[in-house]
Parts: sequence; C-alpha cells; structure tokens
Amino acid sequence: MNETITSHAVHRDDEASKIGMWLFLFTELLLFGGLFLVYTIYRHLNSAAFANAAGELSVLFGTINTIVLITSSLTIALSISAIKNNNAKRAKIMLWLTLIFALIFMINKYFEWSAKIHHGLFPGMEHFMSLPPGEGLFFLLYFFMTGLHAFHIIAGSIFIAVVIAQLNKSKITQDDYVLQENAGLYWHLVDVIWIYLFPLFYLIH
Amino acid sequence: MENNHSHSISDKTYIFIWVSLLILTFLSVEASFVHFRAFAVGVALFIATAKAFIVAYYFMHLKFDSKIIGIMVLVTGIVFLTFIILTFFDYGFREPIV
Repeated sequence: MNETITSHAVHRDDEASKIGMWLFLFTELLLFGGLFLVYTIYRHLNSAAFANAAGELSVLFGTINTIVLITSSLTIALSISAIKNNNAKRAKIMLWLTLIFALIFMINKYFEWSAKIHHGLFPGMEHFMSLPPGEGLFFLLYFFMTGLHAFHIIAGSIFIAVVIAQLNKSKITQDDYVLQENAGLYWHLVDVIWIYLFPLFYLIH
Repeated sequence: MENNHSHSISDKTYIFIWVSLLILTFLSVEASFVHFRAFAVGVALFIATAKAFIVAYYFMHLKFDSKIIGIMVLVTGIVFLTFIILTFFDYGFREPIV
C-alpha cells in the first residue's frame, strides 16, 4: 500500500468485502451442513445407540464451553463497537479477551478429549472397536465434528491475532475496520456451529 | 454506502443479547432432562435455531447490513433444509433393517 495516499482517496468497498466474507461463510456452513446431514441419518438409523453413547459425554463440560464461546462472541462484538467509537485500546483489550476465551475453550476440549482417549474411545482404539456399530459411529462423528470445529477455533484465533497486529500498526482505524468486522463474522459463525454441536452431541439422554 | 455505519448497536444491547443467549443455553440443558420423547430433538433444534438467529441478527449485524446479505443467508438456509428434507424422503420411508 502506498502510504502517501490518504484513505478517502483509495478505492474501497466495505460492503463488497463483507459479502465476500459471507460467501466464504456459506461454504463453511455447507461443509458442516454435510456433516450434520450424515449425523442426522445415522442418528435416525441408530437412535438407541446414539443415546447410549452420548451418556459418556459430560453435559457440564459442554455447557461450560458453550458459555465460554457465547461470551467470546460478546467480547468480539464489543471490540468492533469500541473501534467504531475510535477507542483502539478498548478494541484491543476486547480482542485479547476473545483470545483468552478461545484458549479456555481449547483447554476444556483438551481435558475432554484426553478423558475419552484414556477410555479408549478414539476411532481405532481397542475399546472403540468393541463398541456396538451405532455407538462407534457416534464417537467417530463426535471426534470428527468437534475436531473440525476446534480447528476453526484455531483458525479464528489466528485471524483475531492478525487484527490485533493491524490495530497496533494503526492500519485498522475508526474509518477502516472492515477486516475486524470480517474477523468478527468468522468468529460468530464458529459460535453458531457450536450452538448446534452442543445439543446434538451433549444433550441426548 | 458510507464507511461509517450510521446504525449501530449499543454495548448495553449487546450485553442484553449475551444474557438472553445464556438463558436459552440453560433452557436447552434443562429441557434435555425433561422427557419429551419424540419432541426432544425438535425442542433442542428449536432453541439452537433461536440462538443462531439472535447471533446472526445482532452479533453478525444482519439487522443493519444491506438486505442482499440477509437474502443470501436465507437462500443458503433453504438449500440446506432442502437437502435434509429430500434425504429423509429416502431414509424416512425405508423398511427398518432387522
């Protein structure tokens, strides 16, 4: 970028930028959508086994992680309203809080997965292989879908870190914060996917 | 469109939305312990969809963004729902495997 050109002289289309981000989010939605379809069919065919297997998951852990993600959605929304009010410092604090919540989510996930793997429930392990087929499917989908979601948490965190770096360099300002808005959109989408994963995996009794 | 969005949501509203999402989460956990039998999945998905709508409408700013984005979101949702319904026209009417 040429620094001598002032921002109002550069051609910029924030709305197009956001629509581009949304188009990408739709591909993400359909990626998870395909997995939700697989889940729905297999649950329909193995409803008793799915209910049995879901009993192994901790409702408490799932609920805590849901609260953590919803709160991180709040902090990133507040960071955008801070930059709109020209408060870059507050925007950065809110983004750091979002990253801390992301870390808490991942630590919870680590303990949760460790416990399941310790019980031999990871696909391919001895206990997993001895499960009835329907329960095996449940754990396969559990590891794949929550794993893919956790991967999105990591990607979103990197995106947020980039936004913090741009704020530090004053490349994101009150007049030009569409990158931060797009990071927010991505983060909220990751939250929305979890909003569906939570009842479908943790709340079947 | 101007770069400074004329409409925005106040921090107070954001906190109110956050509280409502938390309440819906607890409602969804509580509802899962009540035996609704056949409706259990429906109740869970209904609450989840309400939460997703709140996140999209307020946090993702669909309320104030240009209508075209809202229409695109709606079309994507309809496409996904069509896939689910069409798939169930197959699986829903199969003879159970004994």
